[in-house]
Amino acid sequence: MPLLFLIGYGGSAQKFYRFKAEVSIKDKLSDGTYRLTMGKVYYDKIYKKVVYQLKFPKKETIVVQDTTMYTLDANDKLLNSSRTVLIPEFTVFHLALTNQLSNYGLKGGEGQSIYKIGKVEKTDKGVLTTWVPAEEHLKKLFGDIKMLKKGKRLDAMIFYDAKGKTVSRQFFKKYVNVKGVEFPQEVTMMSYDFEGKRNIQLTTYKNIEIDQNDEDNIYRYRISITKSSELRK
Amino acid sequence: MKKLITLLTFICFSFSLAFAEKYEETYDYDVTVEQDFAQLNKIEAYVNNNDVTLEELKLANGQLLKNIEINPIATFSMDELPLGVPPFWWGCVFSLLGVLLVFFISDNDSEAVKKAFLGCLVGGGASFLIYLLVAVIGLGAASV
Repeated sequence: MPLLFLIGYGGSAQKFYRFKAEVSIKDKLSDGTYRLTMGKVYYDKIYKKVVYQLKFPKKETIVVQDTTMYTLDANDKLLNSSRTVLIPEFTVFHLALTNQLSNYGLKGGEGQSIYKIGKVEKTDKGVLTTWVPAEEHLKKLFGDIKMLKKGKRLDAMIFYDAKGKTVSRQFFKKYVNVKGVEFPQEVTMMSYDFEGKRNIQLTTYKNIEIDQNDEDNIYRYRISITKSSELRK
Repeated sequence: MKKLITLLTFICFSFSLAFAEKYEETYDYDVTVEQDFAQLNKIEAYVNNNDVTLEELKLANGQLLKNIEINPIATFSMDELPLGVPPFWWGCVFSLLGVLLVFFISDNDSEAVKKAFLGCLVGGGASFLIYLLVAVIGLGAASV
């Protein structure tokens, strides 16, 4: 999965509301196979929908809204809907538009975040912050998160489990500043399956547009509720 | 619902993947990624220039797909659970929490939930047997 999930987003008021880019997601899966997914991604902070208009491996549209993912074919026919963990407010797009990407949305308001800062170190690679579960009982469930920042930009993260073992790593590279929004054009995630085999995912973004005025119908992407409910039966 | 799924998602990131640590390695980010995706980069360039789907690419330039197996399903398609872990293992490792996760993520896919539940039973049974074994050994040692 190309996106980032976290709890405790602060939601401070920002002037930016739309994100669009050409996206390419390359996966090397632990079973030795590959995936290539290419297309455009649209996100509107107000509509809270992530819309992927894909051209590869096939032409289709994927809309993520609330906790549901809809798949539509090239003729906008609804093919499938399913529950998803890809929640729009926790995507890299929302975090960037709301200026929370530099702390990955971990810095929530008082009582809102399940993490707090445990340690801050200055290293030769940048500032390394260790985030720890905010409450004692949460430490049984969640592990620490280490976050490396270079300047004000998030550069890398390591997720640990409750026992201190590495679960996944993420790298945020090749930042651009578009109309004041800092965004990494390259996001790499490495995760491990239960057998310890590694999955690598490299997501690249090009031609980023912020606050685009046209293509409203795509940002808004309406899905027929009737069709959706029929599909669920 | 959203909060629950978010919490479950985060648990996916945070829970123990028992084998992960021994595979931890220093990752030469710039070089290794390029090596891993060298052939995929060529395919990406071809798709950008010719605007073809995977099926069309197979017909137009099958040579590009030689020695590489590309999954025909887009990354976002929810044909799999987080981290690509099968439902059985979610149930086996995370017990009822794993079953609950599979239930929500798969949108109550009965087959997936069934597999997760089976995993839960297997995991629970194995744990019980281990405890039993330890108890028997402990009792044996105490009686000696």
